[in-house]
Parts: sequence; C-alpha cells; structure tokens
Amino acid sequence: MMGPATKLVLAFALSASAQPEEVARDFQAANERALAKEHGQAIALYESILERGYDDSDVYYNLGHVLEGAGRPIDAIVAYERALARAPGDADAIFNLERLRALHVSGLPEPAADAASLGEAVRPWISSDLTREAAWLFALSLLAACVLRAFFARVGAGTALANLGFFTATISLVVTLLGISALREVRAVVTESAALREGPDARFPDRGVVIPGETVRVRGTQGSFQEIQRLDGSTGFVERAALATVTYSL
Amino acid sequence: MKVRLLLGLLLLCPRPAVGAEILTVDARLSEAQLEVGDVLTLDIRAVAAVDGDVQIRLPPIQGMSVLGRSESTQVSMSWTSAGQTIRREKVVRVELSADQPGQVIIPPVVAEVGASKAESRPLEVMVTGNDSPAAAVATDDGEIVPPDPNETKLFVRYRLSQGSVWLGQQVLLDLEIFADPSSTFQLETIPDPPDLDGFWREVVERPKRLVPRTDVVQGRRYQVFRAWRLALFPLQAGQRTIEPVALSFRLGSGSLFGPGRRLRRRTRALELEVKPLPSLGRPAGFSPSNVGTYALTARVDERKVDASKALILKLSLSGEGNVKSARLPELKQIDGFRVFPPTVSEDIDLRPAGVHGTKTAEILLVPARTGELTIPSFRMSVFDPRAQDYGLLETDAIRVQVEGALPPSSAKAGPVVPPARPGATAQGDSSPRPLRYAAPLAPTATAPWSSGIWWAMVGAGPMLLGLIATLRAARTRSAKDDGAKARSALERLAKEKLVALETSATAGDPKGAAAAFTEAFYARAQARLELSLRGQTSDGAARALIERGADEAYARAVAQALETASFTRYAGGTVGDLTTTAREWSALVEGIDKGTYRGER
Repeated sequence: MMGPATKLVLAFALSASAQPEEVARDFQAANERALAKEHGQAIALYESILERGYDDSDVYYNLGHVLEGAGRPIDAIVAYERALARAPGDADAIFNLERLRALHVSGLPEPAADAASLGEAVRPWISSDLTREAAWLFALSLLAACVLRAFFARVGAGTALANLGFFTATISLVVTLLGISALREVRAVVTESAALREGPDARFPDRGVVIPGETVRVRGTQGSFQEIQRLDGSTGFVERAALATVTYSL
Repeated sequence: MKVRLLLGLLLLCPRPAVGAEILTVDARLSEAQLEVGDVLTLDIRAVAAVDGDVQIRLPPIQGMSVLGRSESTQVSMSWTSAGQTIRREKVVRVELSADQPGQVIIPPVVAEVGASKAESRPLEVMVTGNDSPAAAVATDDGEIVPPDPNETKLFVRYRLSQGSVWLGQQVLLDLEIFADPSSTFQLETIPDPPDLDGFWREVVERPKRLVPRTDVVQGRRYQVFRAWRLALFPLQAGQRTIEPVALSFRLGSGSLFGPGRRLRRRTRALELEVKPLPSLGRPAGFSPSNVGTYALTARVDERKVDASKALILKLSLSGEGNVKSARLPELKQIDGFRVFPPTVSEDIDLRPAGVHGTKTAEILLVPARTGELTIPSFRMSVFDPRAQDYGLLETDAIRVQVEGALPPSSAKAGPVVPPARPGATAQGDSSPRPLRYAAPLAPTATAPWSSGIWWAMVGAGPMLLGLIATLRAARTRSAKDDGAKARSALERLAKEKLVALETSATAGDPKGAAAAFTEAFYARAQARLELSLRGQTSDGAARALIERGADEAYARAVAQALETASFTRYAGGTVGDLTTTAREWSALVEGIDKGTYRGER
C-alpha cells in the first residue's frame, strides 16, 4: 500500500520523465511534417517545443530550415541566428544562414575592421554550455583548493595541490567571464525595412535604412526605439517592432 | 490726290451704326432653384459694336463659390451703306456652387469696352440647404424612394435588399443611377462605398464599366446603372440610418463649345430596422457572431495512421454569412490524442448575390496511444435568418485506427548529423544543409549562479580559510596576552623588591636586602630580557647577560653583586656599608631599564 508521500514522489517522477518523451515524439512528428512539406504544421510543432522550455539549437536549426521552405526567409534567418547564439560553431547553421543571405538579402553594409567586439571575437569558441561548465569548475576548484590549503597544507603535496586548484579556478573564472561577455551582448535581426534615425523618435531625420535580414548589435533601448550598431560600425535608432532579438543569455 | 486717298481711308474705317447701342450685356442662370452643394451655370453674353477688348467683371456673389470659368470671343465685320461695322461678342460661362441656403442675389455683371460700359440685370436663385435635410426614409424590400419633381430625368438612389433584418444578418445595399433613356450624361465621380457606422461591410460588386438595365419608376421608363453593391452585416440592433451620398454629372455628351451642363444628384438617407436576435429559444453558449446559413463539417486526412505520425483534423464552417467573424467550436481535449492549437484560414467568396465563404480550423493531433480512437462530433449553435430561428449544426464522430508502436522514449535518440562539408561556404551551392532528424533535446539549463549550491561552493572555501585564519590569530593574540601579563607581574615584583631592598637597607637588615636585590634582579631580567637567571651561578648569569648584549663590566658587576648577596643570605656574610651597597644593587637592577646591559649609558 503506497503512502501519500510515495505517491507524490512517483507522480513527480512520472511527470518529469513524461515530458522528454513527448518532446522527442513531437520533434519527430515535426520533422516528418517538414519532410512532407507541411510547413505550417511543422512550424507549429517546433514552436511548441521551444515554448515548453526546450530552447535547443537543433530545434531552431530545423525551424529555420522549414521557415525557408515556407517562403519566410527573414524568419528563417532569425531562427538560424538563434541556433548560432546557442551553438556558435554550428557549421550547418552558418552555411544555411550565409546561403539565405546570399539569396535573399542584398545591400548589406561592408563590415568595418574594428567593428567586432570582444564578445564577438570569442563567441565562436565559447558556447553557453562551455560557460556553464566553466562556472561549475570554478566553484568546485575554488572549494577544493581552499580545503586543501586549510587542512592539508603540511601534508605531502597538499600545498602544491591547493595551488593547482587556485590556478584552475582562475582559468575557469576567466572563461566564465568571457562567456558571459559574449552571451550578454544583445544582437538582433532586422525583420522589416525601417529608417535608421538619428534619435529615438520618428521626428528625427533618418540617416539610412536598415535591411531585412541584416544582423545588428543592440546597444540600448529608449521607448519604442533601440539604438543599434550595424556591421560597418554606423549607429542609429530603429523601431523595436522592426527587430527580432536573437541573443541567448544565461 | 493725297486728300482723296485720306478721305477714302476714313470711309473705310469702321464706325458704329448711327442709333445702335455700342455695348450690351446679358446674364442668365441655368437653374432657378437648387440645393446646397449643387452646381449651376451663369452664362454672360456681352456684345460690343466697336472694336476693342471687351472686359467682363463678375461681381462677388454672396453664398456661392466660383468653381470654373470659360470664355469665348467672336468677331464679325459687315459693310452697310453706313459703312463698315464691327461686332464683337464675348461669352463667359461661370460654374457656381451653392454654399448656403436662402435667397441668393447675383448682382449685375459689368461689361466694358473702351469708354463704354453696360450692366446686366440682377438675378435671383433660391437655395435649399442642409439645415433641413430630407429625412431618412424606410423602404420595403428592394424598393426605392421615388424621384423628386426636379430630378425626373436623372436621379440616384440607394436600394436595400431588405428593409428589416436580424442582427448580424447579411443585407445588400446598391447605389443606382436612374437616367431617362433620351438623355446622355457623363459621370464625373462615383463616391467610394462609405464606411457605415454600426455595420461590417464587404464590397461585392464595383463594376469598372456601368452596364444599364431597364426599370420602370412611377410609370416612367429609366435606364438603371449600378455603381456598386455592398454586403452589410449590422453590428448593433435598432433603427440604423444609411447616410446619403452625392454624385456629379455632366449632362449631354459635350461639344466643341463646352463640356455640357454640370449637375449634382444626391441619394436619400435610408432607414434600416435591425432586429435583436430573439431571446426565446436561444441556446446556452450561443455566440452572436454565428448568424448565417451555414453547414459544419469535420474530416481527417487519414483514418488509419501510424502511432509515430500525426494527423490533421479539418473543421470547416461554410455558407452564406459573415464567416470572418464566425466562431468555430473550440477543441481542448480528445481522449487518446494530444491536441495542438489550430491554424485558422478563411476563404471568402464575394458574389453579387452576397458574401459566401468557408472558415477552416486545421488541428494537429498526435496519437497518445494505439488502437481505435474516436474524434467526437462537434456542435455549434447558429441563428439562420432564412429560417428565422436558432439551429444546431453537428458533425459526425470520426473513428481513427492508430497502429504500430509509439516512438520509444529517448531524449537522446541519436547523434546529431555531422556537417556534410565543414567550412564550406554558401557560394555556388543552392541547397541548404539538411534537417536534423534526431537530436539530444534537453530543457534549457539555467545559469549556475542562479543556483544556491553554486554560491555555497564559491563561498565555502574562502569562508573556511577565513575562519581558520581568524582562529589562529586569536590563539596568537591570546598567547601574547599571557606573556604580557607574566611580564607585568614580574615588573611589579621587581619594583616591590627594590622597595624592600631600600627598606631593609634602612632597617640595617643585610640578609633582607640581599634577598630583595636577588629577587628584584631575577624578576627584572625575566621581564625585560626573558632571561631566567634563577639557579644559575654568578658567572653563568654574567655570561648570559653578555650573550644578550650586556656590557662586560656591567655583567661582571652583576655577577659580583649576586655572589655577595648569596653569601650574605646563606653564609651570614656582611656587606660593609649596607646603604651604599643597597644603592649600588638598585642601580644594577635599574641598569636594565637604562640599557646599561648593553653598555649604553
């Protein structure tokens, strides 16, 4: 006879284990819909997986694939950028994204030599998973080093091991901070043509037009406008409604 | 000869006929009565019997605006017995628009040529205005308001398919032009179909070319042209008014001498009775958006499906009515399936007979178990205006066979498909990289620093080290405190013994003085130099002092004093002048304070 506590634990365990199964099945079902060119249904399924907290780069990748097939290239660019925000070195996503831009986006500004920030420079190597792991390693190595120094400093190689722990903690901390820096930088994709204005209001004169499919760096928000920096380093204000944020932050 | 030539030329010059007027001007109006906003024409004709430019000045006309003006001039010459005469005729046509109601006086028009001047007579016109607009009229189904007496040749009217409708029921509104078959006209403008308050409207017909049909109104035959047709869906019950619109025409086909007479014609405002839906017999959960003559169907794309596949359920509402606003039955749960939010689409067909359409909800169903599953029937209450009653639309239940096995539970179904060509660029390749068919999906991990465990790990180590360091410092301080206390006690003892030395010397007690000196020196040496001399020989004490940096002479003096004191205490020896000896002994003890142990003076 199961007591109430046991039932509660069992129910929790069952519910926790049921969701990954459902998600895996939905992912398969979405893929089949995509293969059958039933783009609307596939898109709905991928989006439902994302809404349930499975914010996975592969889901975004497949969603981008289907959106392109559905004739929504700009939305596909947004999805691929979001996949890359979660898995920066994904060669397939990079390939598909570049291909989409080559086919559907023209008139992009030339990238400035010094326009890349520290975050952009390290992004290809530091993913969100690596940043999380580095943070845990930092905590663990710091704790171990302190314990060794406290209790085993006079025992054999205690001090040496403690110093190794501190060194590991330092490196891990640096990687964590770089990862946070890379992931905190807000980027967005332009989803519709909009004026690039000198100030955060429609009354400000415009100094150009941003192009749908272009990726920009977001530097701040003022009201319904966001201050952006383009690839060529030029800055200005664009209406928020014309931008889709793609950055993934921890 | 020259004179004759001059006289001949004079005879040839034109001159006015004797007794004729040099200049006349006449003005006429095209209408004697019109409405505010209508257009009338003022024709002015000036005839001059002399050569010269005829100027016509139009006076300001209160209550009217000049819309346009055209002029033409004709010159003719004739020879009579009186000589050559010239006749110059200028015609000016002015289009005026009536701005306000009332009696409008057009002042005399002035014409001038040279020094001659003439005036026309003043004219009057009556303008009826919007201050007392024609009241809205209710009509029977498909009937029109008859024309006014002054518009029998050309008039415009609204025509409603029904004079009374239910709330949400479709009614057709036409804008029609009625023209006498003998008249020709050009339509200057057709107003856009108006946005009517309280109605949802769809334009079902708006021909680019007006096609006539024949109709008889009050016994008179007319050619009727439909300018547009709207399908209206009333959103509010009660008496609704459809405001009039005005159209501008030019009568006649126009000629070289002018574009034809300009006219404006206005419809009458119409009243439409919108009845509220009956409360008697209204089903529970009925939505007022569901008014129309409809059919409801449900179907799936497959009746047999593999357990790993999804199927699509299509629920459709079709028929005559405002399908855009119709609300399909909601589907929340079906036993045996997981139900996803629907994708809704509409297919609207705008026909001259009205709005028809289909609204479809596509619902993705994913089997949750195998076997025979049933999609239950759907029910929906509607109000059918034709039947003038509520009805229930119902679909059949659908049986679906789910075969095979449900996909295995695995969040790690397989490795991610590796990139086909790592590093390849998109240039020259038109196909995207393929889908990922299996992926290790996992819920989004949170940042470590949002976890208390992480912070505990980061803080525990330094806190532990800090705790240990604090304890050590406390222990050291405690040891230092103990040492200070001991030194302080020894200092006090040394002072007491120095006082005792002085007292003993005064009392003539050599033993007591020797004991006091010995104890005072040992205590002072322990306190200041941390040197324990007790139990050492006098030479040993001297050596110890020298090792601590004491002056050799001082050390020898101390050794001697200690030996003498010991002899006096234990062997009954004497010290000579006790007072002087006590003073020397005190100086040796104080010598430690003064640094003499280092030889400093």
